[in-house]
Amino acid sequence: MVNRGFQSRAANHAACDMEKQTFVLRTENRVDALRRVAGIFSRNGCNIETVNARPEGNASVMEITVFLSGEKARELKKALNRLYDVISVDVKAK
Amino acid sequence: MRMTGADILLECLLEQGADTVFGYPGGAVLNIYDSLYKYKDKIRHIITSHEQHAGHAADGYARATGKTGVVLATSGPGATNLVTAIATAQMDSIPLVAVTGNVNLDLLGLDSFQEVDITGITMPVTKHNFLVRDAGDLAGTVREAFFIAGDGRKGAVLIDIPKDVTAAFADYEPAENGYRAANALKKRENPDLERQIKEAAELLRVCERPYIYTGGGVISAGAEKELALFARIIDAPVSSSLMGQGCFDQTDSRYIGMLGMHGTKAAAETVRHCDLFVALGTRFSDRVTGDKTVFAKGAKILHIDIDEAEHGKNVTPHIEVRGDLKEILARFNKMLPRRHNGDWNKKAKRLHSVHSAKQKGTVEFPVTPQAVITELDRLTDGEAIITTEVGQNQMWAAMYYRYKTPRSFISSGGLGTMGFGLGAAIGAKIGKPEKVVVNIAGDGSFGMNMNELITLAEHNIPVIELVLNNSVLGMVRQWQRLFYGKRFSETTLDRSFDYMKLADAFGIAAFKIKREDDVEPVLAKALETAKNRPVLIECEIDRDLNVLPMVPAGKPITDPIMEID
Repeated sequence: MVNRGFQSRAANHAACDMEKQTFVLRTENRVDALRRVAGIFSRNGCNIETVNARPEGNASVMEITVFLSGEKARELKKALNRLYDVISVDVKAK
Repeated sequence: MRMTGADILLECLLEQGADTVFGYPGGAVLNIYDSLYKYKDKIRHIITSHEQHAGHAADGYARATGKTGVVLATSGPGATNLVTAIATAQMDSIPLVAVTGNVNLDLLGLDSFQEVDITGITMPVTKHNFLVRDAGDLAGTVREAFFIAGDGRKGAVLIDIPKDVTAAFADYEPAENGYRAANALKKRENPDLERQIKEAAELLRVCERPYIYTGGGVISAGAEKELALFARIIDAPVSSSLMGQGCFDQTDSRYIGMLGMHGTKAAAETVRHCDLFVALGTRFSDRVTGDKTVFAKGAKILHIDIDEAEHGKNVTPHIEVRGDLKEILARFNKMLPRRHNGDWNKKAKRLHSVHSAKQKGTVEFPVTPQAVITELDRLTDGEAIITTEVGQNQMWAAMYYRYKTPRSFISSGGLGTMGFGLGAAIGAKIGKPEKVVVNIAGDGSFGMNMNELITLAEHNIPVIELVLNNSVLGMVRQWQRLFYGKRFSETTLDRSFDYMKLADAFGIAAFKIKREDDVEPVLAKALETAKNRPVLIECEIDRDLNVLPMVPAGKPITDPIMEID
């Protein structure tokens, strides 16, 4: 009962203060996809340092690579995956 | 079949079973309204006084019926007026499709008259949104929008359609089967489900003091029957969040009240003593957990939800199960042995009876909200649909009416939208005409949406608007009393207009409750009148009544304030 891994988000922030992350997302290639992805980062106070978006193969899928630093970066994978246009999210710690 | 975009839109609404649309006309949706004129035998359109309340009506319709609500508004201000309604629905995971017109394609992006980037504006408050640039894409987009709104964790979707797209012709073929987005469905697959269910079942077997906490997800999933059986099988006390009201019969002996900032002392105390906290379809709002570092500290937490992003977002569970609540509870009900926790349940029940709150009136204002709502509960046998505004009225409505069925309590839980209730009541009554629908309001909220009395009168929608009038913004005043040294900055309204004359001006029946003796006869008369016409009731209450118990924001929920001087 003791080690229940209960942590508030605030506690999480302190643990990963300004971490550097690379997110590799595959999304539907729609005009707003990049803006939706960027919105999740900005809402959570993460500053995108570099971003690259390019159509894949048959151009129906886009690959977005985002390099950023931010306090909440690690927690955002699920929030990104929840976006309707997002097909997959990979996070690579630097 | 060649059709205009506007006709295609309406055909697609009919495909989705959407025969009721709430909205407000304007320049950019002229073609759509011209088609509605042609389709008026098939699609009912309810015009409100303001787009926001059309949005709330579509939302209330969705909450009352379980169907996806549809709202239609024009470009620019029509679209921005919808934003609060869209955000309200999205925060409470209500399936809503909002359709807005926009300026012609060649005028987009030029700051044209009545142009706003409504897809950009609503991006953070929708589950998804679309700007349709080609009439040929319209049918597919509408089907996709309905799929998204109703799939998995439900939510709000906006479709923005430039005016020339609604005028353009395109091929339309009725869809045999509804749209299903392969990507979204694939993401919802849970490869770990069997393991999660096994681990959860083990926890449920070995625990000694289980506690069931239910959220709005139970209602979304239609899992009330499975829940009722589950509670009997594991023999646990049950509490609900604000959004979960009615998913479990509140007259059942296992029910111990709401949990959270204005929850019962019994619900909070029982959390303190339980050893397994079973959270069903809920997101652990800050209004429920209070101080998260001590929330349910002695217990293991089992969190079952359809949205993976909710697992560990606010509270980290020991075991999470991701999937459809109805299916998962049905699985547990089959695999778990029936058990008896007599002493544990007795303890929860005892707490519930000891700490039940009793409001007291004053000499000048003897009537209490508790007395009014309790009497309303008695007269309607707990069978009415209660919608609420936001503030004290909302909390009293949640506390003193005993909800027996899902979709009977309709309230803006997440966004906390004052002005939500009357529009929502309109939608609920349109969707469920056989039900008594009462909007429990405060005088503050009434000031935000009294223009919708026009809608009640115009369409003769027999809703009861019950205004608990304390002449102040009661909930904000309560916080000022507690935390701001009783400096009642701008919360004393004292608007001295005559509610009876106002209702009369709209042609709405009006009643007043002033004394305790009025409560029963006036409510009975109002309920009788509301069988065929709308009713306004003004009930004067004391401005210093508080909503109690109360847990100050961020404090442990086990330590509520029970009295305020």
